[in-house]
Amino acid sequence: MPPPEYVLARRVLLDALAGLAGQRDAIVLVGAQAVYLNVGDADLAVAPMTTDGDLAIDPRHLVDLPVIGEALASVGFVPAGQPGSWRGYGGVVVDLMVPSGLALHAGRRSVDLGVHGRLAARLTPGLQAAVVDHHIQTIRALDPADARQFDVRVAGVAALLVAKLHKLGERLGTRRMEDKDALDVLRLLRGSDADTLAERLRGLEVDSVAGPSTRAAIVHLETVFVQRGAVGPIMAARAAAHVEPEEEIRAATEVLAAQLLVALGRQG
Amino acid sequence: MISETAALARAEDAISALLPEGWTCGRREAPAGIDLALILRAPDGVTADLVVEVRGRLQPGVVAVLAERLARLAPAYPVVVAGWLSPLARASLTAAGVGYVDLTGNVDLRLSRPGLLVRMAGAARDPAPVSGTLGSLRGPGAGRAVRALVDFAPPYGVRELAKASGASAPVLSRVASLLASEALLERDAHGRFVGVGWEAVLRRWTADYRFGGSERGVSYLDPRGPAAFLRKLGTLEGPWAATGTLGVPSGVAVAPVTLATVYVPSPERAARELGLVPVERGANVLLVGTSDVEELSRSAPGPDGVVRCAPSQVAADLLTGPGRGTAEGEALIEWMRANESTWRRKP
Repeated sequence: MPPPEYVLARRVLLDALAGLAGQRDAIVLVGAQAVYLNVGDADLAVAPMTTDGDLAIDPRHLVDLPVIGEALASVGFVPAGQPGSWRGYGGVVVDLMVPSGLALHAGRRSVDLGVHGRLAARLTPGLQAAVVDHHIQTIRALDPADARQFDVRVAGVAALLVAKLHKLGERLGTRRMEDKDALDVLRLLRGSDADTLAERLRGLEVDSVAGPSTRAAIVHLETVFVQRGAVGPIMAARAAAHVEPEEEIRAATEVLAAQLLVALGRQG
Repeated sequence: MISETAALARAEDAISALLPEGWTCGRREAPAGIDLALILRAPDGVTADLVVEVRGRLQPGVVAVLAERLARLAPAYPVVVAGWLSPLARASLTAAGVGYVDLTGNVDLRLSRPGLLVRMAGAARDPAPVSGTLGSLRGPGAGRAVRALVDFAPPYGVRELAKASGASAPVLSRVASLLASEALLERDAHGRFVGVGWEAVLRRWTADYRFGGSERGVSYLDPRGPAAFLRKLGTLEGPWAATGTLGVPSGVAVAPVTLATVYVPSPERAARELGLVPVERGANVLLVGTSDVEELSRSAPGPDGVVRCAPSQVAADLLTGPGRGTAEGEALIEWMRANESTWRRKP
């Protein structure tokens, strides 16, 4: 049995998926739980999952009913403060995010989803690739007594990598960069073959929706992880400190990022 | 190795101990090319000059040359003093008119004036095959011999052990005589090993052996981590054998594998095949090139698919390698002590 916080996080995610069953075509699982579903623990001893659930919403596939807020309320969620954050059982939060560029009527953070209102989801940059690169996966509860299971769109490694790189790249040089995001990049790089990943990214680069953020992410890959003095590998090592040998994590992150860049034809 | 002075004194003592009552033996200045010159004096005052050649062992084939050389260098009775002389060497010496004394008690000394005849039979078989000239257990050959003595439970003879272990019989003999001289193993009257104090032998080995001493180790990074490396290792073409922390039998291991150490025939080739990157810092794989891989990797893979060197090799590598290996090596030896029947084989 996995740690109780994982069991709880999965349970609350399933609650949200149950509530949003009628909107399933518009939902893609992203974030830490999607990383875990794609690459497992990537042989790292640092826990990969946060308790929060992250769901990307593709407004192009949203239908009017069920209304998101009502559907989530029916399965026990309440608004958690900021737009798109919903607090469920045990205080676990599920975030609904609309990728920038997909919303017709958007403010800086809020997004007008018509009948669903302005508070159901929030605008998030860097998630565009998730609505393009995803696959359907069956998600089950981690508690054997919970028999629920849902076939859900789960973002692929390439889309998750774009999202992480975007987050790190946009925050480069600020205190808002988080070490754990760099370690997630290592997880994603470890969990996939460089050539396969490069091919997926090349596909995303020429996609009308995912193209701009993917191209930006590849630039971030170089500046944050590969170029001389890049901070990404150091951040990943710091995130794994005391659990994994720092020098090894740093070197592994550098090497895999460089190998991906080479596979993309950008270096070497 | 005993010093030359001590060897000469021992030869002189060996001869004088054989002389009848009233005879004396003194040293003279040795002519150039002669190890030792002695003068024997009978009770009636008649003397005889001896020139002595001191040898550890003597190949029968060199006897004629030796006799000719001694005769040329000095007009005296030539005598060979050796650790042990084979029956053929003894026969050759007698035929060439050379006397002999070996330290196991084979003696043939004959003088006509003053009249002296001493003939005695000592050991027919070499009691300590090859002299004490081997002073170290360094090198791959000695390593194979030590591992054989540790890994196989006696009793056995040299040939039997050599056959079972793949170690060379002459090297095995040499290593055994070194260990026997330090009372680390016991042989019966027939020369068979009846007691091998494996732990003492192993520790004696680690006094001379150094992990990576004669082999070449190259540090690599598997960027996908040690666990991914182990999964790939099972698909590696050609032989390989794990040592260090990874070589500790599963279930006995006390530390996580942070540096997977593996013997392979060629580190470069294996690294290419496994997708490893050579690094100076942050290595998680150490590949050690050795021509002994076939012999090291003889055991069946563990339940985790890892082919491990024998515990004797793994313990020696841990005890003599860098880092925190010493504690792991001691833990492994403790396990070996408690589980001798599971890892020590019959030849």
